[in-house]
Amino acid sequence: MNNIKNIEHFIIKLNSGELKKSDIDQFEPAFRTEIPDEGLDNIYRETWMGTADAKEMPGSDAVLDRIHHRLKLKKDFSARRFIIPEWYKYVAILLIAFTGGWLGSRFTHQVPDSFVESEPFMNEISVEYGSKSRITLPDGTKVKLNSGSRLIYPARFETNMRKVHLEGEGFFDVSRDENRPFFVNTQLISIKVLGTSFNVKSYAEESLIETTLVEGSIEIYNELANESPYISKAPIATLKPSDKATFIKDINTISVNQENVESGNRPTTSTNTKAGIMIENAIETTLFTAWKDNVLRFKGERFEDIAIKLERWYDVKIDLQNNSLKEEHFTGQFDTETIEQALEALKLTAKFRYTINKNEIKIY
Amino acid sequence: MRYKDDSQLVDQLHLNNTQAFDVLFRRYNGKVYRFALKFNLSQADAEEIVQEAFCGIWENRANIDSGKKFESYLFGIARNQIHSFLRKKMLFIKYLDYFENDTLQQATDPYDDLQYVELKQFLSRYIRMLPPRRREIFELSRFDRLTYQQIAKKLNISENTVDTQIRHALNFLKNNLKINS
Repeated sequence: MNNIKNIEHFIIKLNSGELKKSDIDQFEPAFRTEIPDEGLDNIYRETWMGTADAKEMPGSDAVLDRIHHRLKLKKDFSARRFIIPEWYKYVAILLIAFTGGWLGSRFTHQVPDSFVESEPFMNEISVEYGSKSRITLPDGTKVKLNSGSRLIYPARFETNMRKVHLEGEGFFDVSRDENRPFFVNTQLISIKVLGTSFNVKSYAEESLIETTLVEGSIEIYNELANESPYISKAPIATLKPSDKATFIKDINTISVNQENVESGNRPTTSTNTKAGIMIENAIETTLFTAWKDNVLRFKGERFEDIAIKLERWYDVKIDLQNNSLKEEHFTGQFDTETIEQALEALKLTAKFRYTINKNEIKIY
Repeated sequence: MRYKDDSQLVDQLHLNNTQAFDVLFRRYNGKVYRFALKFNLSQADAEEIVQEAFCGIWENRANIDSGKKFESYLFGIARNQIHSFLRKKMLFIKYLDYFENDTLQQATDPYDDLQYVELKQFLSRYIRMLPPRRREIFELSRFDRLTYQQIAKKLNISENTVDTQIRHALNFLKNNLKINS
C-alpha cells in the first residue's frame, strides 16, 4: 500500500523536473503493477476531477483527423477553420459550438437543444499565412493578428472579467476597465491586464511563448494553475514597460529571476533554465511589434528562424537545404519587398542560391 | 446538465454513429490532454494519450454502458494510459545507468525479458525520430549490445563518433521524456 503523501511528493517532483534516480527506487514500486493501487488511483482520480473540460486542446482538429484515419471512419471531417483575407472588413464569425457535421441528418432530433446552450456563443477569427487582420472586441479593445493566428472571444464578455484565447501572434491594445480584468489565454500561460498595450506570440509549432509589454503593466500566470493543486497560483512574472517574457513550453516549474538593466545598455538576460521563464528588460519593443505596422524586422536572428517568419509573412514554403546558412545571423527589415526582393537582399550578405516554384522555395 | 446528454451520445455510439463520437471527442479531448500534462508529459506525448484514449473509446464502444457516466469510463481509459506511460518512463530512468554507461554493455542484461521488450517498445517511438545513422548506432549499441569498437568497425567510423552519436541520442531521449540528470 502506498503512502499518499509520498505519491503527492512524487508528482510535485515529477512536475518540477527534479526527479532523480534515487527517487525512482522509492516510487517505482507503486507503478509496478498494471492496475494502480488504491493510493495512486486516488491521486489519478483527484487530478482528473481537478481538470477542467471547458476548452479543447491545441491542434485538436489534427488529432481527430488522425483518429479518423486510424479507425478508418469514413466521413467528411469538416474543420472549424475560417479564413479572413487581409484588411477585410471586420468580420466576426459566429461559431456555435460543434459546428462540425453533426447538426445534419437523423442525428439532430435525437439531441436536445440544451446541448448547444451549454456552450457560450464564441466568435472565432483565423488569419491565413501571408495576411494580417485587425478587430475591435465588444469592450473596445483593439487586436491586430499576425499571419497564421487564431483568436477566440465571446460575443459578450462576462461581467467580472474579459477572456480571449489566442493561438499565434497578436498585438493587443486593451481598453481600460479595472473592474473587469482582461485575460489572454494561450496554450500554457494566461496574461492578466487592466489596460495596456502588448504583444503575445504563441504559435503551436514553436517551443516558446513570448510576451512583450509596450506600456502599462501585466501579470503572467500558468494556465494550468486553477486546475491543479501542484501548480502555484501566484503570477509567474510581472512585466514593466519594455520587458519581454519568454516562456519555455516544455518546462513546467516557474520562478522569476529579474535583473535591472541600466538604460542604454544592451539588454541582459536573466536565465534560469529550471524556471521555464526568462525576462529581458529594456528591450527594443519595436523589434517585436513592427509586424503590426506591416514591417518584418529581425535583428541578429538565425536564418532558420527568419525562414519561418518569411513562410508566414509571404505564405510560402521554404525548403532550407543549406545547413551552414541555417546558423548564420541576419539583421534587416522588409515592408513592401516581394519575396524575391527579400531573398536578393539577404543574398547580399550571405552565399546561397534559391529557386522559386509557385509558393515553394528551395534554398541551397 | 451536460452529462445527461452523454448517455444519448453513447447510445448513438452503439449504432456506429461517428458524429456522436466526434461530439464526445470535442467535449473531452481538452480534459484528457490537460490531465496528461499534469503528470509532466510532453505535449507530443499528451497528444498521443488523447489519440489512444479516444481510439479505445471507439473500439470498445459496445462495452460502454450508457446508464453510467461516460466520463468515468473515459477517466478509466485515460488513467490506464498515463499509468502505463509513467510505468515505462520509470523503467527507463531505473535503467538509465545501463543506457548511459558503455562499460556495462558487456554485462548481462540488468532487466528481465519482459521489461526489456516493454522498454524497447516504449523507446521505439522516440528512437524513430532520430536521424537514421544515429538511430542505427544507438540500436546496435544499446539493443544489440555491440561494443563501440565493433560498431566503429562495422560502420567504418571512429569510436569517438560512436560515442558522440550515442550521447546525442541519449540526450534526445531524456529531453523527450523530460528527465533531468
